Amino acid sequence: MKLEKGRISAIELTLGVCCFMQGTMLRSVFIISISSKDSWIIAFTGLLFFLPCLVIYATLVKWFPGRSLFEINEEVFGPVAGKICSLAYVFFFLSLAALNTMDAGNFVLDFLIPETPAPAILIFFMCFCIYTVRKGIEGIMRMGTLFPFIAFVSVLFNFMLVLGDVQWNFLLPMFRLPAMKYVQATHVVGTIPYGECLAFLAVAPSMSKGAKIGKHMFFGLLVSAIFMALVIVRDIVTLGPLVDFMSLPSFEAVRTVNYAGDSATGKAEQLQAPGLRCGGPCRVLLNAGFSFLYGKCVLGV
Amino acid sequence: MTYKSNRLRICRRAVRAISVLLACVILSSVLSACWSSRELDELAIVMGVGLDAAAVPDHVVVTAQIAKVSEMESPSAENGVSPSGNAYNNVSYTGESVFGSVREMTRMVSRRLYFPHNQIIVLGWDLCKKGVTQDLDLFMREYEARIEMKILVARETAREILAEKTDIENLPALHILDMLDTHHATSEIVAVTFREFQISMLSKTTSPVAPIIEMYIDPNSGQAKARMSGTAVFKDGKLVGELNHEQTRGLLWVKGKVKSGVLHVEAPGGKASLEISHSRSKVTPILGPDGKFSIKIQILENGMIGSQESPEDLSTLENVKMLEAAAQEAIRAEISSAIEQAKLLRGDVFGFGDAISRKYPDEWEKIKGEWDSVFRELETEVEVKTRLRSTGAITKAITPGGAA
Repeated sequence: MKLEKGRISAIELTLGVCCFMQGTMLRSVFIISISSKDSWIIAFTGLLFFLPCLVIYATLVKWFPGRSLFEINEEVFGPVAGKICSLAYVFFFLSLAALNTMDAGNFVLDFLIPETPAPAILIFFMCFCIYTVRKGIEGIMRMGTLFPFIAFVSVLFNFMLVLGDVQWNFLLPMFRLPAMKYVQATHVVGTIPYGECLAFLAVAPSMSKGAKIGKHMFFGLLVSAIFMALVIVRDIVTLGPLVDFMSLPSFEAVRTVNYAGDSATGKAEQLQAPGLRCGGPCRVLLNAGFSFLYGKCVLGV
Repeated sequence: MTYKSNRLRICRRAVRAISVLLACVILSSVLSACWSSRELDELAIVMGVGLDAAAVPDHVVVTAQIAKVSEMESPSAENGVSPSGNAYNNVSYTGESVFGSVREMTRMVSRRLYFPHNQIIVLGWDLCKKGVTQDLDLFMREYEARIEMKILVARETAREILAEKTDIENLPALHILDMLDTHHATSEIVAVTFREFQISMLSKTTSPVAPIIEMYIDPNSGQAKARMSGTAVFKDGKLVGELNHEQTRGLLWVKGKVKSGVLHVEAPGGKASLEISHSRSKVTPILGPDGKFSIKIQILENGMIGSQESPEDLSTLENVKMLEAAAQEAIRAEISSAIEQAKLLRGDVFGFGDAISRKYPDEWEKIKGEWDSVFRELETEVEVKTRLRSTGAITKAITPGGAA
């Protein structure tokens, strides 16, 4: 099965990376549980941690133009060792795809429609992703050009709505944790969201001629780091020390928004469907993330 | 060949058409409604929750105020009572845990209790004395519960507060919510959300506060009504005391939450009431050369003359200065009273400890273990600036024969 039919422009790659990274923000608790109120800085230290990997892989792409990650493996390591190496990558992408699927399922079932059986959600989620992959990687990248803007506007909008309730001094005092906490959090962020972006190196053969994959990926990751820091800061200044106790801090932070108009009471109160503001974009982004990882697995197999 | 290829093309079209049709049927069957749909007439919408200490040890009385949605908008509904009955139904259950009690209530109510619309949580006095930390766990843990609901402490029991006969609103929970929402008019009530309460609870030094609500007999109607009455102060999850109205406003001055209200001051020839139109505050911890901490509180208040009981012209520069000085003194007195009471209760309701820990994290490590005694000895400097910006729609009091 040849999935990569289309050509992908540099901007599509950048936005695709943003889309992919934004989908992982539901899992910000991984970082916050370690580095608490200093977690926003981890978005940037994680990027720095990942940079050497990015440079190495971008160089490989440059040395082996027109080859996918799996083809490079075979050429470098030989047919047997190359396949074993590719298998490790497939396992990496597959386990991440499974993690994304589980996250999407848990999020929807816990917060949005708790009585719905898990298979009903997960099967439709996967069918949608498989359909997207069948349409080609270009389709996924096209999808990725739209959703980052939606997610960014959504986060900005939510931030504005909670501004009345935030306390900026929840960020203080800064950098008082043991150094190992920062190292651990940086490693987690560098491995999970940033490390997942290695999947994008497999699109190298589909890139437009002359496009610099490393440069555009870095730009996408930088925008994502800013986005990640913004989301974490919003969560911290809204929830204060409670942020360490929440299983989904971003979702809880958005739930504090007060909206007018409630059909049941006729009183101004909270919007009863935070899923509309947070759940929708998150699910779409997770869809994009899963589709990409799944696509890479199919390609690898 | 042509015949074969035509047949193949027809077959492919047929397969595609069947696939599309099948997809439409499957999608229409699963997308037409939500599996987890909850119809309004199948839900018991909880608008208020009360928690009280039970007579049985280690038990809690949970009261849920359930709205009768169909009767809430009834035009003839009065005192929370529509022609067909109350616009609400209070259900109580005594159990070992709040979670267990809520589940047990389903045996008493024909519908599933639905918490996302819950507006208030009222804690009984005795329960607060024993400690509320464990009993509030459910409302943080439950996905449906909202952390922005308001929290209050009942002078007696939460159950009787939720059974109040209301005049304007159909539901006692909404009446209480309205009273909290209009607290800006006097700035003598502290409105606290569940989120803010829990954030203070997590602090190692800041004492959580919540408004106190009590029942009184309305002399006009002879009925028992609810009213706000000071601020409850917690320490280590337990109620340790209260602040009166004046001290509550002192607390709000320090927190920069006084947005309106009235200051009664002495004026030349009588008294004057000054309306507060705006205020802001700044709390600065200071570390002295002797290693002792002090707190500098700066208040800026803008106001206007609301009314006067003296015939004097208060708009003269001299009188304005005098009124500003009187307002400064009144504000300082309220803040000092609040600080004294907080020290007496050993409850840092202002968050001074947190302010010090943010500004001097290293020095804080040395004193955090003995914060209670440091707080009792903590010196505070209150600097108040007031500006009387207006005399209202008139410049002088209208007095008999006062025309020029």
